[in-house]
Amino acid sequence: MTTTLDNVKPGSRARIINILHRGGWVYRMYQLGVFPGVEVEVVYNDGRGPIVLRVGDSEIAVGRGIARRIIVEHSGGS
Amino acid sequence: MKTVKVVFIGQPNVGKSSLFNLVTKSHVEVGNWPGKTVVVHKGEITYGSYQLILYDLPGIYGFSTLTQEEIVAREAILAEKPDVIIVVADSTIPERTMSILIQVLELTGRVVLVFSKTDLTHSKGIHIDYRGIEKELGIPVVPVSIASDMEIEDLLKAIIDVAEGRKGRREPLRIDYNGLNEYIDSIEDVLLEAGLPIDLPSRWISIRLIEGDKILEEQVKAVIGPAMWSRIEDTVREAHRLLGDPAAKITEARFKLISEISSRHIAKVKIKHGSTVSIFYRPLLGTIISIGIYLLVFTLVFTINTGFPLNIIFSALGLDSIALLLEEYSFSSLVEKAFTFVTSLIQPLSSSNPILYGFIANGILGGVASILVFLPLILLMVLIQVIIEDSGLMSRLAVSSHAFLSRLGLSGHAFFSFMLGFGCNVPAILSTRTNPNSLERLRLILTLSFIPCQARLVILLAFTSATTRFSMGLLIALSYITAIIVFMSVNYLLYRFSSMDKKEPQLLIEIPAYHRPLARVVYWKTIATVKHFVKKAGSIIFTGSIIIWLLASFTPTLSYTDNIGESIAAVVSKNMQFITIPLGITGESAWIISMAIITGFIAKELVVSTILVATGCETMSSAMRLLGLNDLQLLSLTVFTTLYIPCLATVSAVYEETKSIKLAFSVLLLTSSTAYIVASMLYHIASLFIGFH
Repeated sequence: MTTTLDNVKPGSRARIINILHRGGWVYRMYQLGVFPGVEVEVVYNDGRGPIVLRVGDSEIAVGRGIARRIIVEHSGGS
Repeated sequence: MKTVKVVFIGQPNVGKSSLFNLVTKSHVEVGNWPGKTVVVHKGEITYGSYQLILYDLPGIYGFSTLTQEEIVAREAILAEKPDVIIVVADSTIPERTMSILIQVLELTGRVVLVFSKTDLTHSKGIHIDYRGIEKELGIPVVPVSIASDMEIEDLLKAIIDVAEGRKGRREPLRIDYNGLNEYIDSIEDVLLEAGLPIDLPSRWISIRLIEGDKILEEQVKAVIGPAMWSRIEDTVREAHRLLGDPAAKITEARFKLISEISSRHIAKVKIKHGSTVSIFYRPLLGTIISIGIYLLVFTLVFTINTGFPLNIIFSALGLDSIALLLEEYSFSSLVEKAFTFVTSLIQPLSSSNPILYGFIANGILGGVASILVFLPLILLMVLIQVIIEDSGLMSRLAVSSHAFLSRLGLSGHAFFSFMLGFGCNVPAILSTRTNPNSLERLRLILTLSFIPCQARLVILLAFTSATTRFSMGLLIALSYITAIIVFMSVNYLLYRFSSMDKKEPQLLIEIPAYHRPLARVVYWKTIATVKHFVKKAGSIIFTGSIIIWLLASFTPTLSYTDNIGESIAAVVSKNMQFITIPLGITGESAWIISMAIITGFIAKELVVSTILVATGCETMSSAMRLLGLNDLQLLSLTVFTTLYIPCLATVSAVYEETKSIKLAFSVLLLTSSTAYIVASMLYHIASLFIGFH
């Protein structure tokens, strides 16, 4: 079942299916290792502020505006 | 002696600049990249019979053109063609930080790969086979932990080996892009048919074009003409249609290659990550803590400089002796004492050669004193900025402030620039370079001048010291609050009502692991920035102070006068008295205030000294009494000087960053009109309440 990244609960893992966001931001996401096929872990998501992800060994904060346009698939965790 | 040009490149937070400083033994200057108006750190060292010229480029995640830093770094590499490129990767996050290596290798094989922070890998359960990676990629790999002399020696040897062609790849790296290969090939064919008009590897250009590199598109389009370009455009469109976003496929292929290299040469022992949820991620608590940290920092910096605000707090607590001590040994009072002492040494000159005396005392010494007062502020502000940045705290502050700032049309990326502004507007404007929101960046450049810098604090202290009715601390607090409200409202209005930007503010930022900043790295970064600042702002202030002395000491017929009332400056200001009318300041000596406002444009410090010189008073409160200013006029003047036209250094920074005279003038117009509106509004509102006019 697919959802958007801003709906993933902290502690859960999700696989990125598609990024609907356009413009330069997408390249920055790619550079930070966030692209379709990659599995991320949501470290922090309180429903309001930015969402903190763990990608590989590094942590990244993503604003909700961007997170809403990242389509993911639940892949594990709580 | 053979000259070798070396460039350091790497993602942010990998420890690149620290390594650069260690290699160059901190003989670093902030200079411009040859032929470009790009500021990079440059160092020169001799090694054997080689003269190495080393450049530290801004940290970037890749060759896209999202931020100014990325544009700068890629321009430097593409235009200048360095002999050797050093790519620094973080051995604690090897995969992601190596992605820039792959992109560089697609361009050239003259690369040395440095793995930084190798002393930390063990505790993270990471083991890297450096020789294996060296063999597989065909470039020298140098692991560096604490950058000991031996490690630096290894790095220098590797640089020379690559420069002399003994090591490194002959050909750039070719990555298998699977389905995209045929599209890349056909773009390359078009380029070769056009005679490869740009001096870069054709495959690299083709890949970048298919990735959607806007800058390269313009360049190629301009040299190959519209007919050939439309063939390339068609190919890119076709790839898009059949395979989805090609940039995603290319990224995937690069990361796949990295993960293959990693699976062969990097072993990872699973170590359980501790609780990584930082309090800074919580919007409310994080914001409170961030602002708390900054309040503490500012209190410390302000107190060291002027005694304020701790002096007022202490005297309110009845500890007047401590308050006095703080003021007396504050940096600005010490500089003033030294200045008075040196002036008294040349006192004998005043009767024998009054022109020379005036020139030395007011022109030269005045200028030097203004710069000296500036120095500790800038030093402390830069120092704290470097520590906050280097420790990994900065990204966390951006995360926690994002939720609040996004209501004003700003993102968490703006937090740091905003806070820096309280120290000095110039570095604040420069810091917007890392902001990936280009319209947000423009709004910040336009509005950061509203943030009262330390120089304006000095004016605030001077003006408010003359009030009789209001509390000095209250008036200063009012000015700061007004300035912050103005900054926020103007940002909000620009965001809300500009037709260009309707998107909500975006945040996308890496959160590096916390680490204790290395003392020597902090020292070097601080010194390099301060030096640069002193050179630039110092020369403006110094020249300004001499010009003002000239204008204040000679009459329009160019004869020397010691009555400032007859000087060129006075004549000009008397004709420009209208500038103080909206502030409620009129009358015979209002021209002195007009003159101070005009000189304040050069450097804010000059406002106070102009008034003192023109009135011949020792202190600001006696000067204000002499000028007959009441508390209401002081209030409007204080608020006005907080908000009006930033100094010359700030305006030139706005121009440097935007290369737009229109924008630089917009800043002048925006700040001065806002200052008038707000100051006269406050004046009239307050006069209603207080009831005298």
